[in-house]
Amino acid sequence: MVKFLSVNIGKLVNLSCKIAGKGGTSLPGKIALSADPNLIKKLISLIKGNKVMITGTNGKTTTSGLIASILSANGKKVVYNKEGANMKTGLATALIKSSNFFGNLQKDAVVFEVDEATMLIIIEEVQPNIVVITNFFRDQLDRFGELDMTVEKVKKALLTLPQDSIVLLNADEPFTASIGDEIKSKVFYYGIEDNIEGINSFSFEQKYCPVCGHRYEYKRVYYGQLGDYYCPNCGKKRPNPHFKATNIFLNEEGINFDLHYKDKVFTIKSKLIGLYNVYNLLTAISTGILLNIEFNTISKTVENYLPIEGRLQKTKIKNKKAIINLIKNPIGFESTLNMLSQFNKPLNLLISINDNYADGRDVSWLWDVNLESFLSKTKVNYIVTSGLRAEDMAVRLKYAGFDIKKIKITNSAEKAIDMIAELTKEELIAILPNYTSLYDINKYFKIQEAKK
Amino acid sequence: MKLVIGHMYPDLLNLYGDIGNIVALKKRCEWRKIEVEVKQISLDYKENFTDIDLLFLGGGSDREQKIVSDDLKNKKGKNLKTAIKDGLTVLAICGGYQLLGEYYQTLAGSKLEGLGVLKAWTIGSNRRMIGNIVIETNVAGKNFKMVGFENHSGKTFLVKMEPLGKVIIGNGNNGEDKTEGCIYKNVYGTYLHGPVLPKNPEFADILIETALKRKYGKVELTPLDDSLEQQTKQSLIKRFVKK
Repeated sequence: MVKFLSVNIGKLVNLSCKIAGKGGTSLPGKIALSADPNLIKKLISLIKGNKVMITGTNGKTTTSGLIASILSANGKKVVYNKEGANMKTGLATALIKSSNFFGNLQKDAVVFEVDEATMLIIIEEVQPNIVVITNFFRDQLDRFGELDMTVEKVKKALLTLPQDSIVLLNADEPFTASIGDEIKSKVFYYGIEDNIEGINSFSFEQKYCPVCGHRYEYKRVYYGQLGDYYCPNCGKKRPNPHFKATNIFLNEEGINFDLHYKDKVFTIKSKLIGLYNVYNLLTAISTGILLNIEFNTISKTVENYLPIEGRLQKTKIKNKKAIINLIKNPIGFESTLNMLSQFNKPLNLLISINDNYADGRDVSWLWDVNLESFLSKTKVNYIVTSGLRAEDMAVRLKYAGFDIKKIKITNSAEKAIDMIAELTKEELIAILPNYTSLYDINKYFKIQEAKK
Repeated sequence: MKLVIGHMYPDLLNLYGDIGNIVALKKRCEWRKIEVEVKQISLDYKENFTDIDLLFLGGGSDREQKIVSDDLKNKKGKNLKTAIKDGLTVLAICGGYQLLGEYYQTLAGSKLEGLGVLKAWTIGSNRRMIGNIVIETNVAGKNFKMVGFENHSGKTFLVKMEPLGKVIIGNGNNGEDKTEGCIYKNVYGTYLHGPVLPKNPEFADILIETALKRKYGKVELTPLDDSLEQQTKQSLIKRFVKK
């Protein structure tokens, strides 16, 4: 007997997507959901094990990738939306791909990264036993409205959770941490306690004390509005984290730090790079500990974990070394630039900016990125700008003081990659695409791969 | 020559990359060897705006606009009004623009008082006006198109005031009467983000020139090579304005 006809429809669409050579991270789900709007709920109810949901602005994809790997290493069969398609249709697609043709889902854990704006609907359907929040930054404001509204939406969603569920929050990010004051679930916090140098950033989102409305002061800033803050008026302060990262060591090979939980100290090693990956690691490991997974399993998984496609991925273009990293908002862009500048090597950049729906139609955010500071301390020889908003990016660079004779503009990703390869001698190439531009860039590399 | 830019409430009204407007004004002066100073004007500002040549106000979230509204009403409003009547050049975007009007009435009915220099009022709506916008404008005797991005749910209506331009694509002030923005003396209010000045360098130069003229009398700006800015603007207009 076929249990869910809609699953079959979805699977057929998935198959036709494969035949057509398209990724199909959302379309099968979209069509199956139109056949059965309750599909997610029905399929999820077949899964008895842990259900983890991750939301927030930055770090969702890497954090959920880490959590999924930790659960798999613990012997669980995991459903996971690893392509990062994190709206309802993407989740349905992940479930359909994990089901067999009879609508049976032989899995025992779920790891979903969920778009902030769709949390309310997805929580209702998935009924997670643990929800993880990374941070809130300005991201695609035209889709979400203002940041305050996003935080309110997520808070409202969390209030619908059963009381025995766990919510894991970033203590260092004031918007995220303040959610813990008002929800009924069991709340745990994680945070950094280290005197590491923070990232010099434009995108500081001033936070006001939720109790008295006074402006928060900071003892330390790690990046953006993440740090050790307190209210000088009423004394409210950053919550004391249950999970703490100390003794952080970063270089271009990876990250080391100590993780404190209760009276224990664990040593963490990872091949991921950059300060924001310390947060991703801390979040994922804390989740693993809260799910009672043995520390050895966790630490081994984390140590072997490699960045996913487009997330600080190392590659080569015509035998020249290149790094690809997704940039989708000011803080992500700045952290990437900060890391590149720490390499102390001459660079050529390819920045590709689209303004499709998934990217956010508004590209104003490029002006919130402190390119001035990066260009003043880094040797950059050429910059190719690409994507639908290649010209906007070029204007931004001009006003940041970059010599326009060294800017090349093309809307085509393919031409842009050829151009940057042509221009490059000894420099390290950094390819920085926003969300849908990454697809165009990856397509180029897949075609090259197929030609071999 | 020296241009003093006042960046008003940079810590409160700072949404949507509007800082790019300050960057554009600064750079376009520097390229012409005009000295520039940017003063941050926030809650603790004690002067009376006579130290400022060009004032900039961006947009903020609802909570921040409330703080600004109170500060204008209780502290800075009188001096700012006097300076504006005297010809101070002002660029106000989105929330900042709304705050220069008479009031903002939210959908729920509560009223936020504005400075009242613009005979305009804004009313909340349940439809967010989001998207690319192209307008045609006639400022300081120059006729040109401007391109930007709007994101507001407040509908602004002008009362016998001159709009900044006519909407070609998008919503503008209210999505109804095809007007966008407002001009009063040397005050320019607009809903255009993008940010507006880097991609519309004609407008940036009008602001600089107006501000310098008030201070120094006759001023003629050295022309700059704006081919990249114009290329950007034209390619966007071509994309958005379907024939």
